[in-house]
Amino acid sequence: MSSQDCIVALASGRAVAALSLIRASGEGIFEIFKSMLQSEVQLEPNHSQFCRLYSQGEPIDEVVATYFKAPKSFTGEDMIEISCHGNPLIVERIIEEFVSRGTRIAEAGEFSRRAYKNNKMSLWDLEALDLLMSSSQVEGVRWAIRSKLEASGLRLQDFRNRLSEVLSQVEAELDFPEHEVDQGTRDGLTKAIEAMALELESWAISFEKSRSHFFSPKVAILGPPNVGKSSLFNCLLGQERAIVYNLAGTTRDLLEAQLRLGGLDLCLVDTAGLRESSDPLERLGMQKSLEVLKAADLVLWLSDQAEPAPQSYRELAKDSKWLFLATKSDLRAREQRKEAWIYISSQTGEGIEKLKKELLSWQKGRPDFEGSLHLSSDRQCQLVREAQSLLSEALDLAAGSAELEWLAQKLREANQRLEPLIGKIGHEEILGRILSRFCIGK
Amino acid sequence: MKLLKDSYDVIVVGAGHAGVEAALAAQRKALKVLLLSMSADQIATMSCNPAVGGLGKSQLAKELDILGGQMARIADQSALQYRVLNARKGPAVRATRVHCDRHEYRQRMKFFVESQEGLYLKQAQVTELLFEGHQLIGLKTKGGQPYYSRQIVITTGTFMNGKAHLGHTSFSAGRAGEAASVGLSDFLSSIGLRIRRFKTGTVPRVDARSIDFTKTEEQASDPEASSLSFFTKERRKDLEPAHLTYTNPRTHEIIRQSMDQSPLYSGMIESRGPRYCPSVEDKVLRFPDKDRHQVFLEREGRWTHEVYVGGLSTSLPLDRQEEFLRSIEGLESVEIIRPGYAIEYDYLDSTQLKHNLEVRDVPGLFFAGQVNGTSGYEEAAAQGLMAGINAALRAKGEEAFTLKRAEAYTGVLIDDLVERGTEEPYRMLSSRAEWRLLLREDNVDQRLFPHAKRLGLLSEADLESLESRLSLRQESMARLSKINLKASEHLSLFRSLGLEPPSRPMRFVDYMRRPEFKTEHLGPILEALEEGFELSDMDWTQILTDLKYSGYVKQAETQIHQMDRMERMKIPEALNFGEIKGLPIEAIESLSKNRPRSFFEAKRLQGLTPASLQVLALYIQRERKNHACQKA
Repeated sequence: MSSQDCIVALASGRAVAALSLIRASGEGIFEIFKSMLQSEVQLEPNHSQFCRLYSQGEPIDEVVATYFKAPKSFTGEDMIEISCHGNPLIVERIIEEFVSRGTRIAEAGEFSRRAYKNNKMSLWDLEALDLLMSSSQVEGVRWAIRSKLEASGLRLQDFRNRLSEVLSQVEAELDFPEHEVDQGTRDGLTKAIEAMALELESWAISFEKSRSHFFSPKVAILGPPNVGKSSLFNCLLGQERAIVYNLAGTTRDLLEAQLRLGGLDLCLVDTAGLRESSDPLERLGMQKSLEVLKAADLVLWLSDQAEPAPQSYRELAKDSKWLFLATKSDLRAREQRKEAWIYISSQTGEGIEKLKKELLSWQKGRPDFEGSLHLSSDRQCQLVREAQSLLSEALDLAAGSAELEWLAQKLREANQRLEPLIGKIGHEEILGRILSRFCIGK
Repeated sequence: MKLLKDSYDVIVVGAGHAGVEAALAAQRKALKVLLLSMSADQIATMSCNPAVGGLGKSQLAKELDILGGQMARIADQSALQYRVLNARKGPAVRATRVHCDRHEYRQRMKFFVESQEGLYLKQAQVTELLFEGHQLIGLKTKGGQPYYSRQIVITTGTFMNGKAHLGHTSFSAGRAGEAASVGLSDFLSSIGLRIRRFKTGTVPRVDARSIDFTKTEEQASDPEASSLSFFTKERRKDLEPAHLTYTNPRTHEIIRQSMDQSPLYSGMIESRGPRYCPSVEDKVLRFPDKDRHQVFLEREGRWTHEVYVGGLSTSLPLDRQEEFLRSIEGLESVEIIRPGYAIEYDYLDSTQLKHNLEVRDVPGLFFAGQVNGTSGYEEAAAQGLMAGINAALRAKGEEAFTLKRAEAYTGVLIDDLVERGTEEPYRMLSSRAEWRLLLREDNVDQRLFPHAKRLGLLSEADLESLESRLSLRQESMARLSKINLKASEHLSLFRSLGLEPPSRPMRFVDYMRRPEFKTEHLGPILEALEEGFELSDMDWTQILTDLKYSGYVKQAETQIHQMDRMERMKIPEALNFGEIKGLPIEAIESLSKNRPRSFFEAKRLQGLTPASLQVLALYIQRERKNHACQKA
């Protein structure tokens, strides 16, 4: 391990709480920490110890400290974790003590980066952790922890072994001409590649089906000015968040709020009304509305006349779900109601329950937890898709009359794509496998 | 320089496959060269298998041939047999192997070396190097004779502190029957070089008259094989078959029962040997399920009855060797001439070298061949050539010559040695080459001609013949791409060849790209089209492969080009690495300490991850843009 300077940071939230957690890592961090104690306290690796911290003889706080000795720590370096009292002023003082003793405040993500660098975490692990920390949905958290456990799990290892085995078989055949291969071995090879391609596809499919459940879907309320968008926004939230005024163009900026409906967590966005306008401020607001439209998972299109949304808007979010809401139903005659529109009134509450039901029933299927492995980022999914198509190409080559070196080439490229996920399968590993499996050499 | 009569531009220590190539390369740069060998008889001796070529190795030999080395030519001149390996597995892994008369090979190489102007062959053992301050100025022989040069190439093979093992006995030797070189490796350690120890082994040689060849399978020379050298005009006609037989359960039983007498298993030998070249003891112990192993019987020459018993490397005692050999079909009454043995030797940790094979910390001192931890004549010769060229370039004050991984197996070999070192005797394998599909036997001339021309090791006539072949191929390609196929012509011809006739009019070159189209289809089709070409089979293979691989080649070249551009990127001398945001401390320290001038150098520093390099590249590019803006 190369020498690393010491870093420190608050690991828990910044608000006042019963306890706060401070982490520090790096070579020599243990000595730095010990210099903050007054009495001779024994700190055993992996044991928590109650102790008092001092600054120039003056007590700072009573804490519980845990010492992790390299390489058995999160970062792979010597680490100290301190649970102190949760007043931000205490946290600040403790961190200052570390800094005054030559420790640097960590940059965002630096602990994880060190863990990665010291081979404590793989990229698979790191990205699963990222999802685990950032997902705003219970489903996403459930998914991420599965993915994280898989980082060191047997199934990933098993897949890696199978790929390594296939690579070795092909390379053995190329590099050691005296190594003869029968048809049975050939068929076995084809079957193994086919199985891997299918498995990769299943990882990708289950991720693609599930990823929309990892973050709160964006629900955009859009429509012409003064059709009651902000009224609906307030009505759904059950509180007066947006200013409602009977004048077109009241809402100029975006308003966002979390809406919990049953088990569903939505990010509700109120927008400025869309119309021709020469007011630069209003036009700026509309610009933002259109951006929200583009990013929305679900669009609530409001119109008090049940006028459909212009085609140009529909184009901007053609993959999203649209619900058409005719507003101010209390002011309209019942006879002229159109099919496919939900008539609502934020005043009387008419149709609001129906709308909520629609929202609850809207889900692009359930997350697919059944898949064998759980990818945790779009990038991973992309790599898996590429590797899968390279393996399929390899299969076509194996079936056709192409030479073995081409099959090897496709396998090598697939291996390259998967490297960030399963780790490098390098030449030495392949050679080792060949030589331990086959009796080669003259 | 001291005495003019004892001073040379380049001195090469050792006259094995690396040594002769190094000496010849330097001599071809018109320099005065001294070649020292412990025995003036043993020039380019084949210590083991009497063959040149094989997977990855024939590429090395052919690369050396184009750059101006001697190995491939001498191999053709002393050939006993030719074989093509992997004929059906694809052009990139197809390889030529020439089984040679080892005595003729040695004699021809010795005579060739002796015949060169300005190249002095002397018999002597070197024990120390001479320095003036830190400057290398020469060396001293065991007899106390100094020779002076500022460029010295060490190619001592397995001779440094060599120790041979046969059963429970061991003795100091460089090769069985030849003295080891004692003293030099201690001297090298004393000047701070890291020396390590490997082991390798060889097989028994037996008397042909005691073999019953009727009980073996005959393997005739392959008429399809091409010559190893591009410059061989006439192939030898007096080729001979080799023979194949097999071990059996009885052989394995004898070996198993003798295991306590094997120095490999009794703990006498602790150093690491090549896993891909296991002894027969290894084979029997590690693969108990296999009830037979191949045994190749190869004559060692036309004027000897000695036969090389390929596949049975062993260090068991002589009587055990005789017993297990006699259990093999055809060898029932075999007589051993020389037993097989294992040998341990000192080698240099090759990560101490630069890409020109010069020791990083001792300017002017070069290492090449088996002493760098490699195995095989071709690996040795390729390094010898490169070290010889670079020693010569240094003597002339010119820039070093290196080859990239994407352009030659020689580049892969040296880059692996310098960057990674090796944990076992290093043999070239095609799987070591990430650009395998580009590094083919058939396109070596195309790959390396520009280098060959610049280096000027080849004679004018050889360079011209290479150039004219390349341009003939280019012209032929241009003519080929003008030939069009009509949809309904020559239907029966295509069908008789087992090919689907073109369903629409198309260019012939596009038709040639189809996977099922092979070189043997060219003759009849071109004849029917009434088109004549004066191309050899090798040329056609090259053209056809280029066509079929063009998609991949284009993609690979783009990647290689990007890599090159990045590597060539200069790092400004005044750059303060500490100012670069996002660069980890250890990267800043390493960069500030070593001050690399280019990315190529930066990539080789400790503590620089790919991520750090990316950060550095972005920073330099941005700075450059900013500068450009300010100037404008």
